[in-house]
Order: sequence, then structure tokens, then C-alpha cells
Amino acid sequence: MENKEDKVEKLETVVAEPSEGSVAVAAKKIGFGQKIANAFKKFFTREHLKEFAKKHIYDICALGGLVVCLIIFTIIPPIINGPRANIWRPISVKTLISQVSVYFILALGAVFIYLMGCMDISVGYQVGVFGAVFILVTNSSNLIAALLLIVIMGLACAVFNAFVGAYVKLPTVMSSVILMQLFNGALLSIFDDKGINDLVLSTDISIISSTWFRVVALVVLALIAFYLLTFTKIGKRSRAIGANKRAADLAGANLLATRIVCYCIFSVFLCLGAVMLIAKSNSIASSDTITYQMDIMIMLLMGGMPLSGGMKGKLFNAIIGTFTYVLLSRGLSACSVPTAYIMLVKSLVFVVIVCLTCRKPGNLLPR
Amino acid sequence: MEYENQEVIFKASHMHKAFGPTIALKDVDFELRRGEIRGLIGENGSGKSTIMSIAAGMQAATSGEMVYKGRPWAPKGMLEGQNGGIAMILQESNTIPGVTVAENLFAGREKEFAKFGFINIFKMYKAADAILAKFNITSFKGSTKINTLSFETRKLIEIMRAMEKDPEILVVDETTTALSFEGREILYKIINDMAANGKAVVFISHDLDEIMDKCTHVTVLRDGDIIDTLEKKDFDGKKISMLMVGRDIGDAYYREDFEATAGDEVELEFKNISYQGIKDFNLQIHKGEIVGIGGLSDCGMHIIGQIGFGARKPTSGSVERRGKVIKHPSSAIKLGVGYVSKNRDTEALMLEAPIKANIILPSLDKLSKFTFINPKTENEIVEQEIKNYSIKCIDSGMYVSKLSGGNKQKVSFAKWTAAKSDVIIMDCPTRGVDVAVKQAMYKIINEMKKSGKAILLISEEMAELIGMSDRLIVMKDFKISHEFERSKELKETDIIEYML
Repeated sequence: MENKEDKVEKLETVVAEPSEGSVAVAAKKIGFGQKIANAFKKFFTREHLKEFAKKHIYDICALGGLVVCLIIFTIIPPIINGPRANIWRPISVKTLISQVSVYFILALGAVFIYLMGCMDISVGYQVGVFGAVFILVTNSSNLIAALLLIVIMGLACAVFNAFVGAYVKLPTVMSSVILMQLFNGALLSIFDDKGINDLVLSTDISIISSTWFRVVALVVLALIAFYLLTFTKIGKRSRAIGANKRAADLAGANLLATRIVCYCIFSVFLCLGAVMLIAKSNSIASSDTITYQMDIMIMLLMGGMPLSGGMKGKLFNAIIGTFTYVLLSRGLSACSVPTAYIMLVKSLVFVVIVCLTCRKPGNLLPR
Repeated sequence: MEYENQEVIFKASHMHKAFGPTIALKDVDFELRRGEIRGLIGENGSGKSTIMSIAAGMQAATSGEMVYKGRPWAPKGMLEGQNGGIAMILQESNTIPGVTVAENLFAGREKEFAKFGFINIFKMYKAADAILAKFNITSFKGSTKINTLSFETRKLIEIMRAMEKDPEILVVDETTTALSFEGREILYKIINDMAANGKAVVFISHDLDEIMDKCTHVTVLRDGDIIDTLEKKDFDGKKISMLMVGRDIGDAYYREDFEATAGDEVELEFKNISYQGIKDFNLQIHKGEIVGIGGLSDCGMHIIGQIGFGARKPTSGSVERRGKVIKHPSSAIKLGVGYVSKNRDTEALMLEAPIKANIILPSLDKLSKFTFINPKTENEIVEQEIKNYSIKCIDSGMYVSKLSGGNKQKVSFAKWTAAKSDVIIMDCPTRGVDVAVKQAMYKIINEMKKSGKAILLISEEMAELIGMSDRLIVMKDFKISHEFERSKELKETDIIEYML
């Protein structure tokens, strides 16, 4: 209390000062160049960098994971198995892109539902059935009809998922369990009826399988997803629902409507993913897709997507996650690690991420 | 014993706490002696809770030393703080849901009732009943499930749990607003007993009258700095408020006019609403009118607010705005109705989201042009609202969870002014905010009225209702028991008569 008087004096000076406005408003009056220079200056202070790192810890971790994978799998495979194992040979890059393309499309779609804190474990079976139906209908009728049919099927699933969540008040993962069983049954009956393991498409869709087409398609789809997530009501509302369902509902983000739209977008991406998968070999096998649901979940987690959704989730998570995951699989097999062990490594990575995220919110990684 | 001769039980020197660029405590010195009841008072975000949460081990100081009972003190967590003898009762609910009262009281101490790895639950119930008897509580037992108890009663259980460890210092952080009348009396008795037994109590509150009544000393904080510490004999309400706010807040607190004014146009109409206990509720709110609803917290007034916004569906009747029925919050927003929930952190705000995302959320429909929402327009609106309400923040990207209570409340107001709502339903809009923020809120509400907005003000604070409403409706047992016109003569006692 020794400086009590000083403080009382300070009291009067504080009164005379103008009340604090936001920094951003003050910045408006300065020129554009100066503004950028100021922003740079502000950004590179030690305190701000620390704050930035803290705020973006998961993105940094995710990006770090990708960089580590890149470095390790660029250096190690050629050392172990010679130059043929280099993952950056043109032929390897082509395979990498074809592998990435399917996962990437599915992950882009999944972002829309993960942001709301929802989860879907029927992805693999849905893609499998969509693919099989696409081939059967294309073979017997035509490509457009096939595409239309699988999109309609997808939308029906979307509405089902959204309704179960909103009216039966079940967690959406439960509705996806129902769909998983349903589609698993459908998949089995399609292949068992024919007594075969794979269905071959009789129409030529080789244009889709060209590397250039895939790259362009991925960029376009990523841009569409980016637009939807960043500049539209649906993107903002899906994040709001993940952040606080009740508050979002009371601020006009109708739970049912938002869920339906998000699941519909998700389903359309699944249909496109199915077509992309078929284009790889002009066929689909019964076991091609069954690991997809877990793959997608691990990819998004690897990319830094919080399981509870919300504001911290973004498209970036899907992009980074997909590349890290595919690189990990490709890199390990280039190092001649047996498939069983690759699965083991993947599950270890999953366990590590879950351990890091299963803490109270605010700790290390988001849930 | 003279105060100066009492042993200093806790001392903090040069305590500094920063959250990134925000400074919560500026190098403060704080001393607490045995036998005192110290009130800590200050505006939202002044750092009053921060000091004691550091002492109790909830968080660590950025720099500075603490001495407790003559030894250096640096608890690593709340448990260490509690075991050392500093217990803190928090504003937020902190009981374990889904289990019994006894399991809550003895959380973490189950071993005391265990034999061969099995807990003797009956022994635990018996011990819990003994504690309840000590506090003269007969309305429930140790075996009662905690979920069947009210929020207020659960708070009381937290207090009992804290007292079970026989703390040397008890910190009560904004707890009394969450307690029932009976609970408050119990808490006051505990506080007085502790002081009489040579222990110390720190009482953190917004309520100036309560602090002046119960404390032996009061320390005023502002912007992370200790401004002054007063002894009981020097207590003066006006002086303390001035120290808190940093200026004379004057007499202009509520509306200065005493005339009930309202336009002719009906902006919101409740037509024969029935819901649970509510039967045939009718109410019209006009343009430029503030309609206040008061009553006990379970009289049905909060439900009316939710029905008005479409957040609850009435079993019969309808809420209409200009002939159109409000069915859901999204339809209410489209018709220009806004709602400030009383549960700020769970219903009004997304805490783990930036200020910007919170403010803009109800306006998305209006901003969306051919699906596109222009980020520039979005930023302009948000910056304008931050400026209008002078929300203390680093920038609009700052997470709401990092804001103080008053600033959070400002964000929940800003949502609806940004959405340009013409009707705003406010449920306890000034709950948990300090005098200066309250004053600012009242000014905003008054300006809203003047600009022609219709306001439904639901509140448990009589003074606020009398001070702001054009028309005051008192509810009792789900029914309107009386209606008052705005008048200078209206007193709190007039209203209470119709409430109880």
C-alpha cells in the first residue's frame, strides 16, 4: 500500500485518457504499405510469435508431421532399397496422385460433417455400394443415369443421418452405424449374387484416370470446398454448431437444415470419390473400400481436425492429413515394411494422436 | 487482538500475470492476515479473481513470490492448494453430475470408506448425513442424487466439500449470486466462524452492499492493479465505486425520465400461450417500449422469453410478429427478433470461437448474397460493434473465452444490434456484470428504446426493472399477478408483494 497515493493520482489521469478502441480501427487511417509493414513488425515480436504458436499448435504439429514424413521418406527408401525405391520417380508420383485423389475427395467431404462435431463410420461401405451400383447401372444403361442414381442414394443417406441426429437425438455416429450395417449387407449381396470379387466397368472413363485430370479435379474440388467453408452461411454455421450447438441454434443456425446441407455435400463428395476410385482400374472390388472410414478419421486427426469440430477445424486439416497419411503408407512400403506392419504403424500414430487429444480442451491439442 | 498484531497468513509480492499481450495483474502486492474477511472488488477483468486463483493453485503467476504461513508458496494445482489449506469456491458449477451428494462430498477421498477394494457406500452416506446435520440441512440426504437438486443447492454442497478440508483460507468467488437465501445465510455463518477462529476469508463479489456488510476490509482493483485497501470504518459506497470505475459514475444509472412511452405499433404479440404451468398468457409489446417482467426465478418468466423467441414451442397459442408466427429461433431472427439468453456461456455465446464469429452469426442470412458473404462487410460490421460497445479485446479474432464477463455480455448484445433486430428479448441481461458495465448496458437499452426497438426485459433485479421498464409485469406461479405503469413512486416493496 506504499504507493497508494500514486495510484489514486493515476486514477485521475486514466479518466482523462480516451477509452480503448480496437487496434484495427486505428490502423485504418494509415496507408496500405505502412499497414503491411506494421503487421509484419507486430507479427515478428517474440511475444506475438509465442502467442501465434500457442494458438496454432495443432496446425504446426500437423504440418510438422508432414514435413518429417517428407524428409524421412525421401531419404530412407533409396538408402535401403536403391534408387528404384525413390518415391519421387515419375511412376511413383503418378501412383501417389491416384491414391491421394480418392482419399482427398472423401476427406474434403468429411470436413463438412466433422466441423459440426459429427462423425461417419459408414464411408467405406457407402463408397463401395455407390461404386458397385455405378458400374452395374452404367453397364446396363448409361453413365449419366448411374451418376444420378448414386447421388440420389447419397442424398437419401444424408437426410437420414441429419434426421436421426435432430429428431431421435442420437449421436450421428449411431445413424452411421445403421447405414454401415445396411450398406455392408448391400455390398455383400451385390458381390455374392454375382459370385465374383470385382465388378468391371464396360464403358471407357480413362480420361478421369489421367494424372492431369485428377490434379485439376482435386484443385477445383478443393476450391469449391474452400469457398463453401469460408464464404458461405453453411461453412460458418457448421463450425458454429461444432463450437456450441445450443448457441448456434439460438443464433439462427437451424440444426436440422444445416446438418442436411452438410451431409448432402458430404454425400456428393463420396459419390465423386467412388467414381474416382473406379477410374483407377475401371473396376471395383468388394474389399477395396472397407478401411476407408478409419482412414478418413485418421487422416483428419493427423491433419489437426478436432474431433469435437468447431472453429479450429478447417480445410487445411484435410489437405495436410491426406498427404501425410498417403505419404506414410507409400513411404513405409517403399522401405519394404510388410503391410501388416504398416497397419501397425498407422494404428500407433492413431493412438498417439488420440492420447494427445484426449485431454481437457485447451491442452496441447484440441479434442 | 489488534489487526496489525495479527499474523500475516498470506503474502504475495510483485505478483504479475499476463495472458499473452493482455496483462491481468500488474506487479501487485497483497497481504492477508488471520481473522480478517477481505472483500475484493473491481470491474470485470480487473484481476480480482486472478490473484486468488494463483494463490489457490488454479494457475501460475508469470512472476512474483508468495509466502503462506511463513513459507514460500507455489502450489502446482488446485489439489495442492486445497491440501495446503487454501480452498476456493468458484462461480461456475463444480459438482459431479449423475452421482449422489455423498459421492460429491467425498470425491477423491473414497479410500477412507474402502475395505478390500470395495467402498462401503452406506458408511459414506452416514458420514455425509453427519455433515449435512452440522449445517442444519434436512431437505435432502447423503444418498440423494445430485441431479435432483437445484443449482443453488449444488453450490451449497461445493461449499460443504471445501469446508470438509478445514481450510486456513477460504476464497469465495462470486458465489452468493448462485445461492438461495438459505444458502447465503449458511455461507455467511461459515465466513464469520472462520474469521472468529483466526482463519482468513477472501470474498470476491460484484455486490458492493454485500461486501460492505460482510467484510472487515476491502481491496479495490482496477485493470490488474490494486488501487486501495480500506478498513471497515472507512467504507463508503460512493468512494468504493469511484475507485473501482476510476471516475464518478454519477446518478444517471437507469433511465432519467419517469414517463411511460411507447408507439402504437405492436411489434411482438403473445397470443393465448399455454406451456407447462403457463395458461393463456397474453402480452403485447409495442414499438419503442420496454416491457419488464419480474418475479421469482421459477415463476415462468424465463420460459416466456424463450417462447417469444421460438426456442420453446407452446402447447397452444402462438407468438406473432406483424401477423407472422414465430416457430423457431431462425424464423424469429428472420422477422427481426433477437434474444439475449440468461445462460451466457452455454446459450448466448460460442466460447471457443472468435468474437467475430459470434457477432456475425445471427446476421448471416442478411449478409449472404447469392451464397457469398463478403468478408469485408463482415469485418466492417464487427469492428463497428466492437467500437460501439467498447469491447476490450486485442482484435476481432480473439476468442470469447479469453474475455472478461462484462465483455462477454457485450458480445452477446452486439450479436443482435449487428443483426439489426427490432425486437430484443433480454433475459437477465446484467447478470454477473459490474456497475460500470451495467451502466453502459442500461444506456444501450435506453438508446435502443429511443431508436424504436421493442424490448422485453426479463429480470430478477427489481431495481433494474423499476429503473428501465415502461410497463412492469409481475409474475407469480406462471401467471401475471400484476401490471405496473412506469412511475417515480414505484418501490421494490410494491413489486415484492405480488411476487411472493
